[in-house]
Parts: sequence; structure tokens; C-alpha cells
Amino acid sequence: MPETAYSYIVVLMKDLTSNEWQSGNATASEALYEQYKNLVFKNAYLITGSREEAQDILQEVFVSVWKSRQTFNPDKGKLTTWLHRITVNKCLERKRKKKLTFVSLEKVDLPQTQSSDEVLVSRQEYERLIEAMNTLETKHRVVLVLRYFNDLSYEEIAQTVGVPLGTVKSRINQALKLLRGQLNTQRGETPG
Amino acid sequence: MKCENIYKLLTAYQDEEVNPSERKLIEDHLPTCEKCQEELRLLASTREALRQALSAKAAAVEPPIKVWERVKQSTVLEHPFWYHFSDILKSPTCRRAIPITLVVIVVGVLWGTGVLPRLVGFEPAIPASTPPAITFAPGPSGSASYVSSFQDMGELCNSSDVIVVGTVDRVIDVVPAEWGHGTIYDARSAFRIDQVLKGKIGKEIVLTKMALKDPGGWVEGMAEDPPFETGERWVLFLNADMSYNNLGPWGRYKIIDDKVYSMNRITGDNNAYGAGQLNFKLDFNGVALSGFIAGVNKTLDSIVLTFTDSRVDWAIAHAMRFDAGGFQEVNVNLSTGKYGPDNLTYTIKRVENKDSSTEIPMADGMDVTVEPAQFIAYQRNEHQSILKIQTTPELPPGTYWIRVDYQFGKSMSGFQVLMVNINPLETDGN
Repeated sequence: MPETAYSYIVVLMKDLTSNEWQSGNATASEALYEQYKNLVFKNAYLITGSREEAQDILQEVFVSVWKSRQTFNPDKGKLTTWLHRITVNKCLERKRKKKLTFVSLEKVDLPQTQSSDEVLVSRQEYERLIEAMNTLETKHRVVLVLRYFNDLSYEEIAQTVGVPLGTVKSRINQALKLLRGQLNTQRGETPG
Repeated sequence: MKCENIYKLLTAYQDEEVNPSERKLIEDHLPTCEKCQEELRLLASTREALRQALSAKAAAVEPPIKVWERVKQSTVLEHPFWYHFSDILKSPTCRRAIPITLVVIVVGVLWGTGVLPRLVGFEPAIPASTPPAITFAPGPSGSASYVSSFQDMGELCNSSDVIVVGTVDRVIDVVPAEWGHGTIYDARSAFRIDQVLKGKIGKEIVLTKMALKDPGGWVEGMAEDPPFETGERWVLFLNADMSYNNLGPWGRYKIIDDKVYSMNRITGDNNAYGAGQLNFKLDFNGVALSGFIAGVNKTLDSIVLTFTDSRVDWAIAHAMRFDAGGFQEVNVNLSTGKYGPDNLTYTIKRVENKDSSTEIPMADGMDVTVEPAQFIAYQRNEHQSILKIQTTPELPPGTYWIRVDYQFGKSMSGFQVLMVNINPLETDGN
């Protein structure tokens, strides 16, 4: 079938260029790490709130990626979705194993690269939000980070977290409301 | 509808994740209910504040540098290539590739030697003595192709010879690709140029795109790379002389109602980037065309320094790997944007890591130079120097970070960092 022949050529081109890491090629694996280390580390940091935890999770994620590299099927989903899933699972796993209460998100300075008019959130508001994030359960942090940091669709979040689409909808809604409730409490207002 | 039922849907509504019937419910209800309008407003401000806080917080941290070393120690990545040979044979890619390659070679040889064409009564378009080419042959003269090697807007703009906004005026013709054996065709489309963002180009260009056809008509080719249709508008990032690369979803962004979309958004196939997984940062989902153009212009106005592979000039290089004792070259490309003419000077130093500016002594056994290191750089020009890395067999294995700094005139400076990996020594019997 011509279509099949054509698809094969495309598959060959794509796989041989981008998926060498799946064959165990060390250079390609390192390139993969270089490409996605920020994505994994920053997500782990936002979910756990700790650089040390995020560092350990970064290592665990890429060890897992190496061990299960042949299970990733690019036809069934995006590589980043797969990486998100492993990252989220590692965050949850560590929490379970260590009965860890994820610590406060470290106070970090706003980057200086943004000009003042681009910073729409005041420093005070920013600190409040970070404080409010600390109070949320991990499952709520996970969906907020996936949606509002990574811009994943609800469907992608459902695939990543392994819950039905409806649960994603209600969880995000609930998480945002809890967050707003916390902000109101901090301001001394009655939760709305 | 009660407000509490609407409340549950408001976040999804703002995230454009409700279905049409839910949307209707909400939009029927909102104008009549101030409480829900207020709730929507509060949710929107929390959501936007959260976006900014998460983004700022993530921007303030970077992964530590030694994690990869620990990953390697925890796996078998330190082993040489042949150690993984059985893995490679078992991999899905290889399992697919081997039979396909064999079939392609056998069919190619039969076709090329004239056996197969005679069997099927077909007069070959190319002489039987021409060896079959399992590569991408150049398309018709004058065609261009999309830029495909980039990780961010700077690299995309820098590696494009021409950037245009164009409308597909007509599909000119469809001719069998020289190597396509009657199945794969080159489809030529004429674009009317609406706006030139970079390069010099006439009012019309012709793009050749690979396509698939069988006797019954068009077969939908690669879903992620659909053929151009008359009337479509595109932003195209093109190279002039890379006709063999006229396939892929890279370097083309579709305009619908003055909004710009990357190919993954057009086809709904998030794998559309393929090899361009690298390009996920350039995921556009309905960005205003004016904003997109402003972004391109801003990038084109700025100074961009990139490294490219000295053998394949269009391939952006961020890292390289070779054995101690080896010699490697990398192209150092500087786009001057709106600046110049002025003196440009390169300096080279070794740094601790990608993000460090602290110079450390160059390793014994490594010598890095750039030529030319000083020249006058002109406005809207691309200047190329060669970075030469000479090593001796005594150079210890490991990762070395080489930073090339430029000083352009008195006030402009910047840098780019190259990761140089020296392979571990192979020991006998391992």
C-alpha cells in the first residue's frame, strides 16, 4: 500500500532522528535530559515546593525514563505528557513513602528580567499566593501546576494524572476556590 | 439553573474546556446574575495571578548541574555503544526499521536495475543505470524549504534565509518525485507574498511539498503535514537551498482569522512536532498575527549568536561529543539585527557550567580558538566564524563548557555556551 510505504518513510525519519534515546544511545539520552531537565525540575519544584526534593525527583525521573524507555510509544502520546506523568507519580510516590508534608514553597525573588510594567502581580500578592499554595493538598497543586504553569488541556491533565476528565474539571475548580479562600483568609476577609 | 451548578463550571468555562451545551447554559445565565458575574471576575483574577506567580517562581530556579552524572551512575549509560546493541535490536524503532529498510533496498535495487519496471511493464523515467537513491532528492529548481532545526525564536529567525507572510494563490502542478517511484509526488504551490519579514524575495514564491498520490487520487499524506490549499495564509520560515527538506511540520505557521497556530494545533496532533519535540517552546495557539510579527521583528532587530554544525550548517548545535585526541569544528554565527557597523570581538573561556560566568582554566589537553576573532560586523548581516577545538589523548573524559563571548561596539555584548563531552575511555574486555 502506498500510504503504508509513505508512512514508513516518515516513521523512519522521525524515529531515527528523535528517538535514538529509546535505543539506549547514551548521547541521545543526554540530549534528552538536557532538553527536558528544566521541565521536570521546575514542575517537581512547583509541586513539592522544595529544591532538594525537586533535585531528587529530577534524578529519579530520568532513571525511570531510562529503565522504561522502550515502553514509550510516540504514536500514543506526547513525550512531554509521558514525562509529566512520571514526574507527578514520583512526587506523589515520595509523599506517600516519606509521609512527607511538602514544605513551604521557598521564598524566591521575582526575576529581575521582567520590566516593572510586565509584573502585574504585586510582590505582596505574589507572596500571598505562594503561602496559599502551601496549604493545598498535593493533588490540587498538581492540577494547578499542570494547567496554569504548563498550559496542558484538561484532557492532557486527565491522561497525566490518570483520572477521568470530569474529575479534572472539578478538581481544578475546587483547587482555585480553595486558593481564593486562603487568599481571603490571609487578607482577613470571609471566604467567598 | 441554580448558581451553584453554574459555579462548578466557571473555571472550565474560562479555560475553554466546557462543551457547547454547558457553554450555552453559562452564557444564558451570566447576563441575568450579578453574583455569577462577580464570581467569574474573581476566578479570572486568581487564575491570572496564579499563572504569573508560578511562572515567576519557576523562573527563579534552575536544575543543579550534577544530576545527570548521578543518573548515569544509576543506569548503564556509562557503557559503550555496543553494550546496548541487543537493546537496540529489540527497540521498536529497529524492529520496524530493519524489515522496512530491507524491503526498500530490495525494491530499490530491483527497480534501479530495471527488473521490476520490466516486470510491471513500466518504462522507467530515469535511466536504469542510475542507482536508486533512498534519500531526498532536490526538488524543482528555485524551490525553498522550511527551516527545521531550532529551539527558540532566536534560532528560528536566525537560521531562516527568508521569513514571509503569504497566501496560497494556486496549486501549480503535481509531479512525480524523482525518487518516488510513482507513489510520492512533489506538489508545487504558488504563494502570493503579503509581507516580507526577512530576506529579499519577489512577489511570488513557489514551494514544493512532498505529497502522496495513487491511481485513485490523493491519499492523505502525513497527517501532521497536510498539503497546502488555495486561499490558505501562512507565516513561512524558509531556507533557500534545502529542497531535500521539504517535508515536515516545522517552520510553517498557519494564519486563521489573523491568528497564528503551530501545526500541532492545526492538525490536533500533538506529536506533530516529531523531531521538533525540541520546538515545543514555539507552540502557538491563536496568537494575534500582529503580536507574532512584532515578536519576529523584535528578534530580527536583536543580536543573535548561534552555533551550527560545521558539516550540516543548518543544524543548530548545543552540545557535541568526541574522543580525547580528536579535533572538532563548530560554526559561530552572529546575526547583527539593527546594530552595526562596528567592531566585533570574540573571546573564549571555559566556565563551570552553562549558567556560570566564572572563568576556570582551560583543561590541559584542550585548545579552543575562534577564527576570525575580530572583524567589522554590518547591520542586518550574518557573520560566520569557526570555533576550533583541538584535544590531546591525555584530556580527561567529562563535560567541558566553552563560552564564546562577543563584544559588539562599545556597549553590546552577549555569549553562547557549547557543551563539549569527551567520551569515557574504553577499557579492554568491557
